[in-house]
Amino acid sequence: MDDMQATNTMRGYHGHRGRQRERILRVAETLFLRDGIESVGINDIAATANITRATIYRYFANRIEIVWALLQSYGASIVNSMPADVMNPKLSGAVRLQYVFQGFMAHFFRYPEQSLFAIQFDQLYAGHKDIEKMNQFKIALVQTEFPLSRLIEAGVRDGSLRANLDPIVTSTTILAIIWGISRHFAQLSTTFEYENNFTIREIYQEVCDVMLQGLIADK
Amino acid sequence: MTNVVNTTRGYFGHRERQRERILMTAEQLFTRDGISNVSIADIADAVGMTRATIYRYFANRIEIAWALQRRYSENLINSMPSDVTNANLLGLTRLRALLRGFCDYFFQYPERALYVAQLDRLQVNPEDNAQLVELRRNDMQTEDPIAAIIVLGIRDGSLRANLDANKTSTTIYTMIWGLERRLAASTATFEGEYHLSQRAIYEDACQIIIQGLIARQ
Repeated sequence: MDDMQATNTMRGYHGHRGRQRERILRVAETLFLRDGIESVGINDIAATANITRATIYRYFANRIEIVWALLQSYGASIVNSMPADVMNPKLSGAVRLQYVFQGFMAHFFRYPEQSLFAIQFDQLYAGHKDIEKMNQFKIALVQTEFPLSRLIEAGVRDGSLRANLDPIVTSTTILAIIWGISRHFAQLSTTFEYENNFTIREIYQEVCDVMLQGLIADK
Repeated sequence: MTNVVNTTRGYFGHRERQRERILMTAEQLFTRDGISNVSIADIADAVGMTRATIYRYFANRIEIAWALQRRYSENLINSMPSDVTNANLLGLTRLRALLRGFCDYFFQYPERALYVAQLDRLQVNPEDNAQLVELRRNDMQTEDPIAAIIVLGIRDGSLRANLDANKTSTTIYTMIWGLERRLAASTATFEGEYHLSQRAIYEDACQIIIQGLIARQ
């Protein structure tokens, strides 16, 4: 996000560079989603963006770098979807967790294409197994991001969440469920409601409610 | 199923065996190459039959894909702990057993969750999707087993009184399939990335679901 804000306020050469990089990313995103990451070459991106391959190489060493850059921008858009109260230290952990769920939901409905991209990324990543890169990426994200496990820790401490939660395990579980249902919903958007009598929004909300009920402390 | 095949003689036995061979071969190809990249011609080549023979059993690729999916669902149901259907137990206890059944089945056959994700992907194509919807509707069980258990749990007071059984059931299925496809897609990387076992996460998810549905005093 810093990147995009920077782009908007920068003038001259650096502003041009920021805009060009952003344009490459948007074109690559469109092509990746339409044709699959593996089927899109730097050539295709250059042709569609109407710039030379050499120009693209000034910003990205290869296709995978573009993929990682997109992922980074998606991480930022998740963070930006979070209500401000997620970080409000005056609220209890349980209330803040509820806002986190709201943020994930808002992000999903605002950027369904990012969930579709994530499905493709999963496949690519399973083939590359670039755990080190993923961990670097996650560390970078956690530094800017709401730290979910620390939020759960705070909730355990203030008594609003169950005392027997392990914050690391619980935050990993929550994310696995959130990423899983987002990919599931994104792929089924056309048929889910037809087959289930409930809207995706209703079920997403219910998943969040069940998780919250499952994590809050008994009165 | 296997018993039937082994004990059946003559023409019908032959037909059963042939159908079975097609399914097993298709399963391997689907898993390796993705359902939408495998044609009837590929299956015919791999199994050593003519395309015409395959068409005697299945109208097209989608029918084969669905027959496999049906088999997986049957296996899942057959592998459920007996507590799931024990009428003497509380709804909560039966639901817990059911989630344990899902969990054990997943770790026995993690590749099947990937297969379900592939079936999801087929739905992007409107024609394939129309056919899947039709097949699914014909197959639909009269009663949703999870919804039935939730109704019982609400009645016996072990689950929250304010649950809508159908909605909760859809929610549980969604959480389980979502979690499974997420875990199955990252089997090779998950433990290195998170330093936690996938089973610990699956069990934690079941625990959260149960805690989220349980009636509290």
